Amino acid sequence: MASFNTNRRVQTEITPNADHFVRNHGGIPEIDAEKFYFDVEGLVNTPKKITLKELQDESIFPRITKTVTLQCSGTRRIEQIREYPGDGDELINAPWGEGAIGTARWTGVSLKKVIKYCGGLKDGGKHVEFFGADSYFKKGQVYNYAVSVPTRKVKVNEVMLAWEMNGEPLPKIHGYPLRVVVFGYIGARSCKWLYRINVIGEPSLAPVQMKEYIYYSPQMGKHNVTYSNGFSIQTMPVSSAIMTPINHDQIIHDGKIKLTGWAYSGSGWPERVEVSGDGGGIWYEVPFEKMSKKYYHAWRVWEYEMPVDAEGWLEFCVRTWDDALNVRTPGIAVIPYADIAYRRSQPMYAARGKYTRQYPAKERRANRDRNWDLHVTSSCQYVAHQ
Amino acid sequence: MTAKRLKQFEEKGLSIWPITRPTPFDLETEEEYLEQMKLREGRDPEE
Repeated sequence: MASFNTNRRVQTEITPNADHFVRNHGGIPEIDAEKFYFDVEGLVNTPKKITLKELQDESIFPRITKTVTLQCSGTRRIEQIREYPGDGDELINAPWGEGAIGTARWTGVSLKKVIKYCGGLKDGGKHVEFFGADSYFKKGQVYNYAVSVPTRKVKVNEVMLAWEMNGEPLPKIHGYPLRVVVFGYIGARSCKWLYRINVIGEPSLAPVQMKEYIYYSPQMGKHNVTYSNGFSIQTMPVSSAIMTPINHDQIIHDGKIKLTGWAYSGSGWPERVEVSGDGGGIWYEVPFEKMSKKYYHAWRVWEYEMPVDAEGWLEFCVRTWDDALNVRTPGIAVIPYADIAYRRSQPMYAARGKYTRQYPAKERRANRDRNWDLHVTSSCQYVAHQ
Repeated sequence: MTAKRLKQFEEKGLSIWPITRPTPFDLETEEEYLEQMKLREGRDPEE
C-alpha cells in the first residue's frame, strides 16, 4: 500500500511543541517574565498580586506536571464549511482540518492552590474569569481576551497555571510566560498570556464566553439562534479522526490499508476505537496495543491495518467509545428491517419497526454535522478513498 | 424567534440575504440574555 500523506501529528502521543496547533484571537504580546506578575481578585478573601517567581517557588506552591490534550471546538470545521459556510465566508473562523488538537506535558501549579493562597473563595464565588494580554477584534469592536470556568472545575484540580510545555518554557505563541490549562475543556478556556484572575458569581459576560463558542443543534438555523439558546461549549465530547489516509487519497493496496488517527473525550478517556471500511456497517476494534497510553485528560493516538478486499471507492469511518460508554455513532435510524433495501435513498423517519440498525446513509450526513456557529465538536468522521 | 429576528432586520432596513453575512447586530441584548439565563437556571447546576 502507498499513501502520499504521512501525518506526524499522530506519530507520538505527545505533540512536539513546534507541531502543536496555535489559535490566537489577537497579536502575541511581549511580556518580560522577570517583571511579570498576575492579579487574583474578585470573590477571594485576600486579593493578591503574585509574581511568576513566587508561583515557581516550591516552598509556597506544590508543582505539578500533567499530560493534557487541548482541542479547538472548530477541529474539522473545513468539512462543515464545504457543506455550508455559515458565517464562515466573512468571519474569520479558522478553517481547520483534523489538526486543531494536540497533547503536551504541562508544568505549573493547580489554580486551587493559588485560590487557597489568596484566602479561599468568598461566598458566591462560582466562576473564575481569566484575562489574557492579547487584544481581540471582532465585529468592529476591540476587547482583551476574557473567558471563565466554573470554580467546581478548579476545586477538582483540573485547572492549572502553566509555564512549561514539554519541559521547555512556554513558547511565546503558546502564552509565555504564563497560561491557563483547563483539562477536558475546549481550548478557548485555556487563556494564554494570563495577567488577571477574577472570581465572579456567574459565567463571564465577556463576548468570547457569552456570545461565542456556542453550539447549536442542527435544528437551529441562522435566524432562530441567540446566545442563550445554544450550549456553552465547555467539556469536549467524544470525538475521533482518521489522519491518514487523507480524504480522496489514491491508494494501491494488497488487501490491507493502514489507518492512523486520534481519539479523545473531554469527560473521560478513550477506551475503545472502532473503524469501519463500509461507511459504518461493520466495525473493527483497534487492538489496545495499537493505541497509545491512556491518560485521564489526553487523547489516544491509534493505528489499524484495515482489511480491504475491494477496489474502487471506499468510505472509511472511525468512532470512539469513552470509559462512560459515550460514543458518537454516524447516525441511527429505527426502520422496518425489510424496508432497508429500497428505502436507502429516502429519509428514514418512519420508525414503524422494532429493529435498530446502524445506518450509514450519506444523505443524512449534511444534517448530522451542521452547526450554525461552525463548531464541529461532536461528530464522526468519514473519509473516502479511491 | 425567527419572526422576531426578521422584524429586527426589517426595522433596521437590512436584508436577511446573503445568509452567509454575519448578522450585523447582537442576537440578544445583555438584559435578554441574563433574563433567559435566570429562567434556565444558569449554565451550570446549583448542586
